[in-house]
Amino acid sequence: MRISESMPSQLELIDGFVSSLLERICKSPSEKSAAFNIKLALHEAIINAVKHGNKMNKKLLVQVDITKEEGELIIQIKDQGEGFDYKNIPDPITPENLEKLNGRGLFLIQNAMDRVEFADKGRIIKIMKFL
Amino acid sequence: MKISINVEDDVTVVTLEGELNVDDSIMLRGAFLKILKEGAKEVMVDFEKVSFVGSAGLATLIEMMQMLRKAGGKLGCCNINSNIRGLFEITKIHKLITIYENRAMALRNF
Repeated sequence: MRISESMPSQLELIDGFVSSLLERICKSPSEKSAAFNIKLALHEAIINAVKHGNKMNKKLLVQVDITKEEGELIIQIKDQGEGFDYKNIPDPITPENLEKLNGRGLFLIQNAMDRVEFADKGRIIKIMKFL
Repeated sequence: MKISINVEDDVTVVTLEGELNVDDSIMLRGAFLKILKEGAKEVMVDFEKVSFVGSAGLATLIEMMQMLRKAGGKLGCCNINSNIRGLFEITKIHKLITIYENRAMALRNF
């Protein structure tokens, strides 16, 4: 299975976009049991791309490419921003960060998926899950 | 998301229905600011009909807890499903906000 879709960088479009992708990804019982985590990771990665990558510039797109082969789901999310230093992300669960209102998205993605990789100076995040 | 608010035993109970995503979090924040302005000090959020929470929802809950703490009140949550409870635990938010098994237990012990 392969899906390739893009959306403009508008926060109000994310929920509908993620739901439509999820319907196409999660069909078997094992996929449905993983649906919460897949949805969480997809949602957070797209929010990051829209807010931090494309700085909510409606003219910039978020590209999502999904492949599902031999029990492995691979989702790649790409923005058109300047990238970011993904090697220096503050840990949101240390006492000094625990009450901060931002900075949990990537942490949630890493916990929800089996593998997370970055490319193109952080403009691309590739998230993987065994189903 | 649907938000309904009622007062039970001096506790303001905020019942949510749907998903707590980006737009829904803005809606919840707005409803919360209104009850805070009206003097609510003890607020319980009932998650029985909530199927999904993202980072925006978690951030809103933390902000609500902070505002209530500043006002001398407190925030609790109840009826959280296992997926959402897992989120509270990995992000350690359960150390900031008291979680109750169900509404009756929450109101008895709040």
